[in-house]
Amino acid sequence: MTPQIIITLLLNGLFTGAIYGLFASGLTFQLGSLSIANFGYGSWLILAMYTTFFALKIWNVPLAFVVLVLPVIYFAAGYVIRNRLLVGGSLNVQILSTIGIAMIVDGLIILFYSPAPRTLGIIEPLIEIAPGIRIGAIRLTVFILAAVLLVLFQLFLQRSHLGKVIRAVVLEKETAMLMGINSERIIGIAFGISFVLIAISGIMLIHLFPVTTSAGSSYQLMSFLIATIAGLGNMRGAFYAGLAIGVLNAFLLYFAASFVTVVIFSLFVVVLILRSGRTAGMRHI
Amino acid sequence: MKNWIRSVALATAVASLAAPALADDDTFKVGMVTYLTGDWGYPGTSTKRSFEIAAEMKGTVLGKKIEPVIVDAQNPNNQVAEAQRLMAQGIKFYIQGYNLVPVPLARYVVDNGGLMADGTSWFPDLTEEGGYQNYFMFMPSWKDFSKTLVDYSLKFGKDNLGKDPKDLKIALIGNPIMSYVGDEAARILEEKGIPAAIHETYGNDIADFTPLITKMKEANIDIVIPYQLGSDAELYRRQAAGLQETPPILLAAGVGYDQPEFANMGDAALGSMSLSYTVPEMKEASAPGLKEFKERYKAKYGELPVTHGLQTFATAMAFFEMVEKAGSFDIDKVRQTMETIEIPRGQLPNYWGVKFDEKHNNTLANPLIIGQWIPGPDGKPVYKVVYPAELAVADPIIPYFKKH
Amino acid sequence: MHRNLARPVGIAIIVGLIGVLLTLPLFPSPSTTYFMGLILQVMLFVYLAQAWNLAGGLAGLFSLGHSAYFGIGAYAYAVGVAKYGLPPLACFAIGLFLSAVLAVITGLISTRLSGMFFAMVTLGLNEILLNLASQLTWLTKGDAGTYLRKQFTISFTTAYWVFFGLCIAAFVLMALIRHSKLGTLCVAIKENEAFSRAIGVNTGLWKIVILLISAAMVSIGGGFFAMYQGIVAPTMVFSFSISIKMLIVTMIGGMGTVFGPLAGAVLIVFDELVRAWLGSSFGGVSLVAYGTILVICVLFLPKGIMERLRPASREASS
Repeated sequence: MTPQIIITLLLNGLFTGAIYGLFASGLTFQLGSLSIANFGYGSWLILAMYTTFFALKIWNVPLAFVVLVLPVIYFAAGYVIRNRLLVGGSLNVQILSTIGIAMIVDGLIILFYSPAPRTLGIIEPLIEIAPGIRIGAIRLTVFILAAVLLVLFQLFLQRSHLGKVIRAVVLEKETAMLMGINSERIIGIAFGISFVLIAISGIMLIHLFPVTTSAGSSYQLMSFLIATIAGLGNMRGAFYAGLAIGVLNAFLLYFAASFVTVVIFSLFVVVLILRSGRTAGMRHI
Repeated sequence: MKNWIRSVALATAVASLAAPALADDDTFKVGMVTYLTGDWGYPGTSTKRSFEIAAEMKGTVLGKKIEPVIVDAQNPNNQVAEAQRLMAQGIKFYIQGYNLVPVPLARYVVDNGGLMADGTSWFPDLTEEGGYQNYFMFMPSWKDFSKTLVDYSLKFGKDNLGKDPKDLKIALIGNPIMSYVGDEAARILEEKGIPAAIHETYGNDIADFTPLITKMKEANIDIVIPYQLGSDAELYRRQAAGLQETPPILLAAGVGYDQPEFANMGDAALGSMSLSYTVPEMKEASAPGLKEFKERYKAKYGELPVTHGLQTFATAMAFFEMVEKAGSFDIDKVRQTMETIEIPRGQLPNYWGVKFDEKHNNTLANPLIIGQWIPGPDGKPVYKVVYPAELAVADPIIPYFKKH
Repeated sequence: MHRNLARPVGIAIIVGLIGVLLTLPLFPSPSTTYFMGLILQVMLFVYLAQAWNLAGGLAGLFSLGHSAYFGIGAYAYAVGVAKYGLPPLACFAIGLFLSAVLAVITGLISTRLSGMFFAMVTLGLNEILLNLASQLTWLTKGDAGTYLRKQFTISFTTAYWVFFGLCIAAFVLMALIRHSKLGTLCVAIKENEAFSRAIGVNTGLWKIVILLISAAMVSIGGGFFAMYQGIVAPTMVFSFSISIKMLIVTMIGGMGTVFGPLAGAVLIVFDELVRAWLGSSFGGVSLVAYGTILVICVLFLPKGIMERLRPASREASS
């Protein structure tokens, strides 16, 4: 095993991990800040992937249009789901209703897009960054975009008025209401924003991976894993956890491809138990 | 009060769904339980459509119109319940659908007075155990498949790379759903004293093949034998093309590599070979009915059937013919006919013939075929059958890629 | 005067139901078989849901990975008889032992994690077992599945009676536990764990006890499921959808109630009928219908069917 190989594995892990981090961050935001356990997360993600595929390949819509329109539709969907279906529900109610919505989404995908696997089939051009070390251009782009997006999102939460209001509602819902903030509406908006993250992740993912009707559940599981390792609500943590899992994944694939999932999930269980004291009520956004 | 109205409305809705379909005795009903939704909805849908086209093309059997009754299994645990529903409608004859775990369904059907013609599953469990007299396996076993895979690999290594089998570096990679095929191939190689240089079954949710590709490059692999499904096959080939790492020979264990969708990735598809049962792309002149089947399918659904679709179509056509020969819808008569009938090779739309041995394995379920993705007239990849000679429509290009 | 009307009506329904289930097999015909098949599906999930209800409903151990015990039970039986030629009883014992080990581990974890985190850990444990089952091919034959020869399987009718018996046993057990010291302790732990601990309840111990009972039930169910199916493959048993079905049935019926899982079974019947009715013509429609009914149930019956029935009977009495 040469140093080149180690570096290649490392970089690849980081780039793939950034994608994990990105699609997990939306879930993290929902789980931690909004206390919504969304079991339909994976389904919405693959819906975005299928829709982008159809827009680009079948309906011949330019990418820019998809990037502009899909997040808006997703925002609306997120807002409606939160404020019509999930208002004031307990964990149980949320799990059931989001599973129900996920089934509807899965069913609609099969009905309208057919269960055939879809791919944009883009062969990734390589960039040689050092002798013998080549990295994928799309992955690099996604890595940078994901990092920029998450930083922007942080800035939005920290600096903008709406962001501040969202944080206020998340921290002290009742107090915020006393201050004249329509908390329900704000949480709906925040949930809508998290759906925007799903839409953007979906648009990016379809440029790298094929999508099948069963892909949703593995994305969902991976998102849960990353979100819980990072600490619910900790979006920066989710990005780092994604990177860590990506790197671990790359090396495991090289040395013991058969047991990647077993090792990662065992680690997940151990990490959760070890840091159990610090997980409760964790809310940094 | 409101609660009551709600409950009554709900109950009415449920009750209206329960209303049974009226039985119609003027038709010859043939049942199929297959995946239409869930993780395997795609090949299942092709199976369903192909069965319907078979019924439409054949039209009638013994003067009765064929009526396919197809239901959704969704997952392995629902199969038997679905079969019971069909049996409650008096359906005795079944064509196997696309089911990942086909045994419970087949066993239930034949244990409870039904008959099943299985043209999609390659698990020989029931025929190996024996005693299931109304079960007929039209397909070869996956063990035959693995053996053929190894035989062809060694042949290509010797004929096309000029390498003694002992010097060949073979890599087996794939996902757990197909791991028994990969494991069996590895076992045969081991037995021949040529252990696989790399043998890895990765997880179903793999997102990055770079580590595996790097590893194979490092080991200087001659032949890659992937046992993959559609989406991981596509991702592997695409990433390998991006990394410009292409082994001299790639011979896939079917499924992922013989579907029309594989062409969507363009140049990355080129060069890959795939061992399959029979595929719609083979020489039409050798398989009567194949051309019409493809045309009808294309006209109706705008795409070509996949290999399981063709298998189902051929099985259904053979089965209809057998019932006709039996001259009766009596299950024992049909069984006796099936046990003795011989349809010579080359008379079915999938080229194979039918002759069952005493265990109800089809002895004429061969040859398996090899196809390769080569550049078409417009440069886009097309899938052409290259082996065996009697079904080939193009010459193979081996090795497609020269080693770096 | 009508204060206790709900009770006799409930008893009458239960007795009637048991009567129907007992007499149905006496009239063999293809359509009876279909209904028995439907009922068998329902009984399987009612039984599993009741087992889940013990841990999840009563003690608030919100597990998303109960299919792990189901899979352990199924594989212990299948691998035991098919690969090692062990007597069935020994296989069940092994299944119970392994499930107990997992239950103790899960129980210990539950003393450190709760709510969403506990749910995620159980989900993770099941995922680990799913992957082991499909990767340890020398033991399980991977995704091809462990095939059971005829002598190791049970017929459909036998399975019907087995799960009928298991269901009755599960309901009796639930009723007994619900009104026992253990049941009271579990509810106390669910309602306020810190307080329970403060008054001297060894919460960790009781959580493990209730999980052990729940796991044992699911594991036994898994063993019989393997017998009935005649083959065990990883995705048939270690499947998230099975875990989810257990909790959906319980929640729709009413968490922590004795008859909740029975009421929730309505949903399984609905699922089955929709797929039967629409499944083949419109692939995705059955999923859409199932999802819609789930959402509607949650909107109108957030605490389950049993919760709705109770106030109604109180209204009637006043």
